[in-house]
Amino acid sequence: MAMERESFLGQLDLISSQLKEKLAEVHSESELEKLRQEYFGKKGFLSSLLKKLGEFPSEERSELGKKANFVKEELMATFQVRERQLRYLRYERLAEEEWFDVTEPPLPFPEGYHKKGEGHIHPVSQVQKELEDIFTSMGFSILDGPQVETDFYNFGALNFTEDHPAREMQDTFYTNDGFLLRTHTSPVQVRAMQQLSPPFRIIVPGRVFRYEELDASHEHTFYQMEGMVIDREVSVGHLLFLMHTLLKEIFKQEVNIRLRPGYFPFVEPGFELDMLCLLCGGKGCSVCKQTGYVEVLPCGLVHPNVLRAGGLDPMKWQGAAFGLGLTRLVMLRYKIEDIRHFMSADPAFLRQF
Amino acid sequence: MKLCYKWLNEFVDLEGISPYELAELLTMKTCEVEGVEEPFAHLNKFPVVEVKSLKAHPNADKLKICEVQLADKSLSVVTGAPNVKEGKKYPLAPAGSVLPGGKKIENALLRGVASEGMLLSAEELQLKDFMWASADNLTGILELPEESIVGHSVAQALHLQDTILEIDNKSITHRGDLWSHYGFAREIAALLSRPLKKDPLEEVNLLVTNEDKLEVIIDTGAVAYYGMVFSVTNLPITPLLIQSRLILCGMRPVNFWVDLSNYVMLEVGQPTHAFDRKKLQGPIRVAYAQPGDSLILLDGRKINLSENILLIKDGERPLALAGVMGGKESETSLETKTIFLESATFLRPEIRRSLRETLIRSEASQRFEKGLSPVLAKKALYRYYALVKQFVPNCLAGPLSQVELATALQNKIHTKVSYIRQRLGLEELSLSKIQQVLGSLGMKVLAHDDDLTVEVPDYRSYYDITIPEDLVEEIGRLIGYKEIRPVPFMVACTVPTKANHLRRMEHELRKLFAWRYHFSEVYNYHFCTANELELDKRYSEKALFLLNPLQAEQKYLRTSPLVMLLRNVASHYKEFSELRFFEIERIFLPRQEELPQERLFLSAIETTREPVKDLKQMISLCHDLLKKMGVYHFEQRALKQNIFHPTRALELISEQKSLIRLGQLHPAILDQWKIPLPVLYLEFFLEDLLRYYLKGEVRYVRLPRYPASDFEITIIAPRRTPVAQILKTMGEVESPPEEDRTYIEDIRFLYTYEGPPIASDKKAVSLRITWRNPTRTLKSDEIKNLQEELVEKMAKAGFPLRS
Repeated sequence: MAMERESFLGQLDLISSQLKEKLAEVHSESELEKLRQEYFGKKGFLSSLLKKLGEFPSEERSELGKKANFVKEELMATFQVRERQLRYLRYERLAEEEWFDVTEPPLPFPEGYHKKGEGHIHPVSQVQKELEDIFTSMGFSILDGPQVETDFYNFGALNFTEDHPAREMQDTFYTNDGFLLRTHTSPVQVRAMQQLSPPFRIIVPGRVFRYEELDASHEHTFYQMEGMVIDREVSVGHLLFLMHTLLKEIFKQEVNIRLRPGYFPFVEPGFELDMLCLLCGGKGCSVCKQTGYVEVLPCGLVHPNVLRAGGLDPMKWQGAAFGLGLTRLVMLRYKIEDIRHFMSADPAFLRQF
Repeated sequence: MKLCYKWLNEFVDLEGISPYELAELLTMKTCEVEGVEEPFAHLNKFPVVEVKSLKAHPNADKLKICEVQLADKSLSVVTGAPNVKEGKKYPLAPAGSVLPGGKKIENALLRGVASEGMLLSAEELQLKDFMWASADNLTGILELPEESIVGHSVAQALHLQDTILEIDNKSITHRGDLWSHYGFAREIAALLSRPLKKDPLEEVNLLVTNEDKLEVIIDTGAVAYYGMVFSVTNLPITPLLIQSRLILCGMRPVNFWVDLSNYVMLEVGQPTHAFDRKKLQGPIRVAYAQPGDSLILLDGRKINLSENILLIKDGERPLALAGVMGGKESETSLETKTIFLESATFLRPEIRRSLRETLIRSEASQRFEKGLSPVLAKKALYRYYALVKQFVPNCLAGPLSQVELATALQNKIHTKVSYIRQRLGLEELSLSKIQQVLGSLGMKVLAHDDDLTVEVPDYRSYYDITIPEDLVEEIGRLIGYKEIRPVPFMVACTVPTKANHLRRMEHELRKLFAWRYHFSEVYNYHFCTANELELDKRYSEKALFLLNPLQAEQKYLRTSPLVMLLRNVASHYKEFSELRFFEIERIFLPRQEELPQERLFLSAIETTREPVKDLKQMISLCHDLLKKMGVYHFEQRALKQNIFHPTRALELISEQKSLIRLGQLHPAILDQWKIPLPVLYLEFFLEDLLRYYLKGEVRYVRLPRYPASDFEITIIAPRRTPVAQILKTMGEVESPPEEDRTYIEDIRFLYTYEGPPIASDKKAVSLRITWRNPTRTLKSDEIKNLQEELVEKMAKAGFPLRS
């Protein structure tokens, strides 16, 4: 049977006034939720009424529809106000209803602590610790530097002059106050030369940043480990020895390495260091992209301008430096396919380490 | 950058060296080669055929039957192309072949006539970048040049059969001389000890056949500017070989003038620019932009110029972004018959500034920003002249306009043979080897005993070889680093210069949290939104922000560790019933005129279903943690902070300093984040504990000689009495008798009980007290007295014994 216009409007009025009354009487959020179902739910009073709009001829329908919608929106707004009120009431009652004696001393460990389930150390932390142990056993100090850096330490002091095209090689995040997020751990080379007296050997593991869109193989936040040796005489032969020892320790087996030219403004000569692919032994496979070698790290002899920036006389002191991609190394070691896992906090990922 | 193998072979003999071997050689000695590929290999399977005869199709007006000659056999092919002609050559897709788009060609009957293949259009070969000789070629089948040989592949006929070496641009950032085929050929010649076959930069005789000359003025920003007017009566189509090479190198043919300009750049490394002569009045000036100047670029973009941008101007009117990109207005087209060609040397800092300010990159700017020689600019103009004359012998060329502010540069580097030996670690390196290697790179070496003076050629003197270390690299890489033997350092027997205690502590905390407290370590980003920043207001006021965030809203550097851990919980609570995460990282607190303070924190978060029970456990954890970190004396104090529940938060304090804050997060925050579970949180800064951690010595207490006496007692207290108050009451001693040295050694809280039969506003608290006398064993009546006194004292304070 078709519905009368007056009857529709009457019901609308009734629903509206009823709901407003009930809202005032609701005193908890769970009661409120019940009310929401009762009125706005699929089979709620209001929804059921609105369904009947279809029974009206079209001119009437649009007029009534507008009215009904107006009422509905008004009611929902009132509903939200009440919802907020109740929420704040709940917050206000917390102190009273959920009192807790913060002075009560705990039961001593371990009786006072019954957590089950394993905890895990992040794989990057684990590998970093392992590398730190290798290097400290070789007499290296572990240094840290600021992640928010100055242009001077990140570029200028490392022989990237103001007009140097190599500045483009590293896409940089800049901050207000004229700072930037370090694009590599290399600024600590200069800080170290300023703080320590030569000769010295240091490593700098740490977080670095590149302005780069995130995908399976690109991160804007990742980890590197810088290394530097300052001594009276440092040669390519020394660098080779150091790199060979390091990689042998990391991979726990004999390794075969080679140097080829690489360009970085803060070293001269500069190298890319490759390692004979451990998987195929140099025959060529998917890991080494059929080349037989895997690119491991950039390194070189410290550029005299960098020594000068660090306050050392290049006639008296020489240096070697390298930069190891810590994140990349971890991916290589465990064959992790997606760099985004590291920052995902996904328990399914973390619990494997 | 892309290098064509055959083009290189024009300058240096590559006999016996395959593209792959060349790539390997360059990789080991010069730069990174990212790939070796034959981009048009797919065209090898389409042969060139000649149409011997044409017949009308019996059943279709638009179709023709062609008798085509393919090497030793002839085929019958039906085509609908309107431009097919007898005696011309076309590409054929024989039956059984597959087109670049994936379409398979088969023997077919076309309206009753058999066709053994298909003649192809440029579009079907995906070769639309070429400018074709006639308009017909665009709509019909592709007419190949007269000289094409029947049976050769279409790739061969179009000069596209070549292998490309893809050079990693970053690895030649320091080598302005390598940004061309001739430059690489020069390098390869040195690597192979082979001579160069020809020099495209050699002098040519300039025949001035025209009087048109524009005046040139350098206000600033350039050290050399050469220009010349060229004029033809009919603009030719760019020769096919030139078009092909541009395409192989990843560029698009545009018109004769522009194509030759690009060709010269790819060949010798000098960018030049062709202006439409008709659009110029002169004089041509190299000058900075004036306030309000703007320019519409070749690509149609309009840019407003700031005052320190270097321009090419026609009088006062901006024409082009110097060394970066030309302007739309003076652009050449297929109708342009007269041009003014510019070949100039702009200074590297100017180009770098233009790039930074306009963010526009181009093949030209990529070369100028490396720093080029002014000598090259003049030679390149002559090369352009020679090419134009070669293809249009009757072309008119005007007199040379030139401004030269610099001449060839020849760096002189002084070093020692012994220094080179020492740096390389090649003690046996001979002088003659050094001379030979540097000589092959175009350097002159003067030796006097140990002293060397090396003269560097002009093309490597700009920002490239300037110091002895550069020579060390040149010699090392040419000899090959594999000749160098690893040598251990001579090491001083000293302890490491500086111990990193904070790092030691960090690793120990990781072990504690992971293995003793069962939390998992997470790594989190520093970037957060303004809303997230507001969450924990403690330090949020002056947060540092990124000027170029990856996502506009995520621009702040976090000032609280809480936000990211909340994000972690929000992303994973649905999947995992229990979450316990911890993070060790830094927050950034800006300071005036200084780098921000970076505070290393440890924060931990835990989801729970029993917040009271778990908060008590977290407090137990913190007590354990502080002891492990060497903090033995501390107290718990209530904490009111907006992130925490009003009563369920506390801090642990030692020597007036708050060391750890922890508690249940305020439900308002969790509602906001739509996390339906109570969440507990703790946080501290490592440096606050470092002092204790370093002292961290065990404090030995002599073992007692006489036994202690324990007494457990349960009292009744009003429900909201803090346990600390009860403990304090218990420990208060009214002026102890001096002669008696009995003392309270320990007071320990055991547990509370609420519920029947205890009245609802009361609770039962169990405690244990320990007395000791260092000089004797306590007697039983003494102990009884102590106990009675205690019970009485407690009752007086309002804490009666539970009956």
